[in-house]
This record gives sequence, structure tokens and C-alpha cells, in this order.
Amino acid sequence: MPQRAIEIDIAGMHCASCSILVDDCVEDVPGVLSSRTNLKSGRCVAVVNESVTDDQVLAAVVEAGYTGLVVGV
Amino acid sequence: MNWLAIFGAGLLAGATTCAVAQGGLLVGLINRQKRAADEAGVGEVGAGTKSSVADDLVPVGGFLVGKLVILVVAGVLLGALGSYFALDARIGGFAQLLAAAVMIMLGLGAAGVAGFRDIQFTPPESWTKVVRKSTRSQSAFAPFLLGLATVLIPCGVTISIMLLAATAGSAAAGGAVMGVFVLGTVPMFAAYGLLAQRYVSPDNRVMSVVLGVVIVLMGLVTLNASLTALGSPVTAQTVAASMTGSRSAPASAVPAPAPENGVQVLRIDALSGGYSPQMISAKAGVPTKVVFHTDHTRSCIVDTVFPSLGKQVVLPDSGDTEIDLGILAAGEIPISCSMGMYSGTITVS
Repeated sequence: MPQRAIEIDIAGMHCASCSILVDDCVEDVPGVLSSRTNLKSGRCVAVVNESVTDDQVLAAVVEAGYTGLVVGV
Repeated sequence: MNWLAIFGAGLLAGATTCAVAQGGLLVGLINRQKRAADEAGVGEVGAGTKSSVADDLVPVGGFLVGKLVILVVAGVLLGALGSYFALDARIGGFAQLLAAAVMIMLGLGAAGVAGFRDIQFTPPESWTKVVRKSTRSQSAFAPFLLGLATVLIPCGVTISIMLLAATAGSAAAGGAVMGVFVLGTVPMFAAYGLLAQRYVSPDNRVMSVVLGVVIVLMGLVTLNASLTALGSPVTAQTVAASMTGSRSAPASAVPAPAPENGVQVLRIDALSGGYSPQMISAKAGVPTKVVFHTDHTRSCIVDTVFPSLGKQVVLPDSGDTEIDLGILAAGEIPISCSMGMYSGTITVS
């Protein structure tokens, strides 16, 4: 299945636990292959199947308790 | 040590900092294990993913026990390390000074002060991998292991409390500092993570500001302790005394004793809670000895220093210990425990 990367700027992270929580929630979305969130830059890069929408990934970020903005696909 | 303040910091941290995000990790772990159990048909018929609060008490309890154990162990090690450095009062004092500066910066960061809020500890990727592996585990011990792994991802507030543990004066006190802090996080952690059964944003500004102020205050207390241990003429005690005028009042200090065989002997009780008398007078130009009396004394006061004289003595928990100060010149000689928590002054005139 074709894959793509989604880049999201995340606001509200304070510590390493926050970035791990974001990755945890994003990777729970069916079709997300991996998620890596950088605490310093506040950016999450998720590799997903083509079937996964930006909104699904953003919803996972919001569910984790943060706000996000898709900045690159 | 202000245990109430440490517990209060834990209470606030439980609702605002890494404790909340870690609660989210635990919620995710519990939900994943429930889903896996349902898919494997392990759950009772009709159980589905629904569960009672009591069902979640075991993993939440396991997580908190893991976190308590590892942070108490960390506190014991830090306390032991700090007391080792304090064997040399000057090195210990400077280490405390450094710890105080970091605590104040992290406290300002927690309060959201511009220029400080971006100060974050970023653990190596290998450490975060350990945490992430724990959150994906299906083991019954996974919550406990996740609790243990949280020591790898401390936030600024936890690091501040770790520094406080390092300056607590002993291994036992260091462990107690971390234990009281973790216990303080339990009520809010339970309310948010367990009862809410969902992820909660740690972005609570009011609580973060209050917590930041508490950490800054702890940093200032540590800063004052380091100044006391280093024999600085400017400490909170000297400033307060000069403002109230108590230092200049002759009656505030115990008068100089009459010399015995040409030597003046200053007798000071070194008790667990401080020196008594706290201020004592002495005559300049006379050979002087200090006799510290201890009676079941169990605090850092047993490691007493005269920073301005470069003298340090380890007192027994009970008994009299004589220290020869030689012939003193006029001036003030500060006395302090090696951690700067207790202080006294010999006024030579």
C-alpha cells in the first residue's frame, strides 16, 4: 500500500512524556506505521498508509491533550 | 526540610506536569491490554471493553508503586551523592549553589516565564524507546515496568525535586524527599488518570504558575542554605537580623564566658533542630575553644563547619566535642551544618 508522511506542529508539550504520549496516541490510529515527535522542535512526523487522513492523525493529537497544525504532507 | 511544601509540589505536579502525560501513557497501556484481551477472547462473556474503576486499580497501583520505588531509589542515591560532596563544605556549598540556580530556572520555566520555558530535558532516544516499549507491552507487569521507566523521562519539576533530594543531607532524607513528592502526585493522578479514563492535557496554566512559584521558592531556600554553608555574610538570616536590629542588640547573644586557665570555652548544644545558643559572644585576643554538646542528634548538624576558618568537624550523635579555634580576631564567625540548613554565629569583640 502506498505510504506518505504527515508533519504536524504541536503546541502544549512540556517534557519527554508529552512527546511519547503524542507518538503513542498517533500510532494507535489504524494505518499509522510510525510516529516520531521531537520535543525541541515540537514537530511530529507520522508515516501513514494513503488511506489515513490528516484529520485522523490530528484527532489523535487532540485526544492526547494537545493542539496540532498540519504543516507538511 | 519542608515536607508539606514538597507534598504540595507533588499535588500540583500530579495535575500539571509529566505526571499527567505519564497518566496518559498508562491509560493507553491499559486500553491496549483490554483490547488485546477482548480480541483474544480472554475477557468474560459480555465484558467487552467496559470495566469498573476497581479493575483499573491494579494497573494504576502497579504503575504508582513502580514510580515510587524507582524515584525513592533515585532519591537515596542522590542524597548519598550530595552528602558525599558535602564532606568538603566548600565543594558541597558550591554544588548546592548550582542546584539552587537550576531549580530556580526550572521553576521559572514551569511558571511559563519567557526565556525559561524552553528549558527542557530531552532524554536520549534509547531511553524513550524503553518507555515506548513498556506502553506496548502485554505483560501483567507492564504498568509496574512503565512506572519504573518514568525515571528516564523526568520533567523540569521532577528534576528540581531530584536536586532537592541531592541537597537533603543524607541518603535517607533524599529518598524521603522523592517519596513524599511521588505520594503528593497520587491524588491528582488518580483523579485525572484513573477516574477520568481519558487523556488530559497538562496545559493547566494556573496550576503551572503556582507550581513554578513553589519550585522557585524551594530553589531560593536551597540558595540560602548554600550561602550559609559557604559562610556568606549575606543570607536570609543576616538580612532579617539587620532589618529587625536583633544582631546589634547585645542581649541577643549569649555573653562571652570567663576564661578557664586562660582559655575561653564556648559551649554550644548541637541539637537535631539547630544550635543553642544560636549567637554567642567571645573576646578577641584570647585562646578560644568551642565544645559542641550533642544528645541523640540526628541531622546534618553533626557535620558542622566554620566556613570562614576553614574548619569542619563530624560530631558524634551524643557526647562533647572540643574544637580549638586559636586566638580570634574581632569579627563574626559563622557556624553552619554542612548543608547550610542550620546556622549560628560567634561574635568576637
